[in-house]
Amino acid sequence: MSKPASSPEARQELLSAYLDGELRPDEEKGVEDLLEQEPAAREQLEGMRRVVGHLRHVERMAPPQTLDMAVARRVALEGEHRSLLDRIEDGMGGMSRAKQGNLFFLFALVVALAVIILLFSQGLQRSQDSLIPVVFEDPSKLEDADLTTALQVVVGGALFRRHEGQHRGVLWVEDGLEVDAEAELVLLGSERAEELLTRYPELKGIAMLGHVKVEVAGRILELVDDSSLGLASP
Amino acid sequence: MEQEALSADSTAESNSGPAADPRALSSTPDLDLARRHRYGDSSAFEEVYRQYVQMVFNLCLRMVGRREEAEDLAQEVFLRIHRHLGRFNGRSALKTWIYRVTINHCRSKLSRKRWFMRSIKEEDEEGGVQLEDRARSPEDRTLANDDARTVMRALLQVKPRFREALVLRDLEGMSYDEIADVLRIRIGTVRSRIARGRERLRQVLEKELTT
Repeated sequence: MSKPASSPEARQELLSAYLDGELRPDEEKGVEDLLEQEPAAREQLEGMRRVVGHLRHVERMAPPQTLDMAVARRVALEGEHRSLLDRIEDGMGGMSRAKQGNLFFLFALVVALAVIILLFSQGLQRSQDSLIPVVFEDPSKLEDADLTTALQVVVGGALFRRHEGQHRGVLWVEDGLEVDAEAELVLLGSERAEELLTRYPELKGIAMLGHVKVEVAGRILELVDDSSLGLASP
Repeated sequence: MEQEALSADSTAESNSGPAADPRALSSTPDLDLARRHRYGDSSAFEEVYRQYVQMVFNLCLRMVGRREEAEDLAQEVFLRIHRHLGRFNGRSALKTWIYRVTINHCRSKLSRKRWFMRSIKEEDEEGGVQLEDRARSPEDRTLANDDARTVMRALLQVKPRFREALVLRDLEGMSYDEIADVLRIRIGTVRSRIARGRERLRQVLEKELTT
């Protein structure tokens, strides 16, 4: 045998990948040796084969006919919204440049005021939030909790700032196409969160609606890009 | 933000090696569809819809277990596809991208409503429209349907992260490379999730079949 499986989980993985024909030749040889030597391994493989067989009993369903109509309706509705926007833009095309300029100026002013008010209110909110200690629960305990089964979200990025002598950061999550601000209870149990916790024992955080707040004592933790993680000096 | 996330479909490229070739092969027609959609050709989206509706609906169904929810999810998935197809950049195959959009949307919904905690009601399953299998007798089909129901019930008791991998592998027939690309995880993680999912499913099925 080229490399014996070091744990029951590792053996399970090897047998499962063997069943799928997804092993390297040396691993495959190792599994074949194992199967030859150990009846228990053969039994385990058979059990797995039965499970796969059961799964393949599940047939594809034809999508309901109402789906075609529903999708067409929603796409058309979205198209109407777009054409309304286009019409507004076209309507503006008839105005004089001076009028357009004034309108844009007024619009920009309103937007700027709204942004200032929003930022101010968020600042107030954050300064209140920051006084609340946040703690990540032990991920090993979370493993079996009901909620963790749903928490499969990829960390999309991180922002950090210094606040009252501490480094406080916000990780946000994405659901593939866009940052999902509506997601509830995301990230706990995600691999990236677990990786962060393992790698930085001083890291504390809490799952919140749509994002996770993290605290790193003395260091700034930053996601350099979507796929790598690094430390920057404070 | 969306553009940034869209470009993120390139992050999986490091996960897959030479097996990623099919993406390059399929990128031209895929990009052509995206381009046509971007320039307002409504038939491009219709083509995408026709080609992938069954895949999307079934993937949603396997993930949430209930036909009505699967239909709602599929609608939302296609709305997303309609919104973003024009910006599809061809770094993954369109099919991979659609799988990813679907899986991510299901995850998001599952985490919001925890549908996976509900068991499937009989009437929900009856509501599904099974594709006709003329090669089997009616008796065989009834037996197969019962088996399929049991397996679906059991599958819903597998954690979503393992369930995703199992569905993609054993129901969609994807390779580990392709799964890694869709889920944007390493091959080793794919292997581990499939193995753990199968083990969990085995335990649940054992319990289901003995009671």
